[in-house]
Amino acid sequence: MAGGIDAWDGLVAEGNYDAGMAYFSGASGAEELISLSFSLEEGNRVFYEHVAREAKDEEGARFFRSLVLAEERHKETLRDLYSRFAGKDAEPAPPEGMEAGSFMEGGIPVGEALSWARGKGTREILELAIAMEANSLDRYIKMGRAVGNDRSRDIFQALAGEEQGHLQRMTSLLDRLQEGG
Amino acid sequence: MGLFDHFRPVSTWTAEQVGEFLGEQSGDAHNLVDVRQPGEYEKGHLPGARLIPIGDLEDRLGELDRDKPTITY
Repeated sequence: MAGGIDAWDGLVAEGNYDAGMAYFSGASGAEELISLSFSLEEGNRVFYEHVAREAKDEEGARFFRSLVLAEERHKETLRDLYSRFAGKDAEPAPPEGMEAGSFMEGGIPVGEALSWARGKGTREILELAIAMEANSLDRYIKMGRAVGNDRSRDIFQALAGEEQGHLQRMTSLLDRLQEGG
Repeated sequence: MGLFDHFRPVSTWTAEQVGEFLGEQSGDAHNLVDVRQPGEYEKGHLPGARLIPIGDLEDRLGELDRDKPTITY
């Protein structure tokens, strides 16, 4: 790619390559990573639900509500996947020391994100959400690559595809808001 | 890697071309490789990129699928 990362003005994810991926080869590792994803999706859902309620414009509120529904769907998918790996029908437990829904993607505490979001406009919140979802996309692509089972790989690829779709919608809305000043 | 591989033409894409290409593909349809150092990767990388620092590339070529297009940065 000409110019390398400096020329890239698209989505960027942060963090080590591993980010838990090293554990993914074992079954218990897979369960842990699915549980982590489940908890982070719940954190995102709590955040979007709150900012949808507080949004100053109807378009922003509607958009964030649609993300709440999307996160609920993702949680459902992860719950099914967890049952397959764990061999039991159970809700994925949050990783030790983490309360479900207390952290969002990228390790941001939900409480801190909500304090930051208070009084912010849709545009600023979207910028944070885009950074967050880019990390989700990054993780699901890597999970799909790491998992040996074809069916599970398809599911992670589908989740990655959905995150990509969300990101496209987010960046389109952000572009529109920026054009409108 | 054989001698003739050194003479195989490699096309250079702009960041815009890469962005368009990645937007049309699933994450499994290509090899996207970040050849910088781990610290640089940690600060920011293209979503889904593998980290293979340039110094390790020759030893780790086996991790890449030769049947898929490969993008490096």
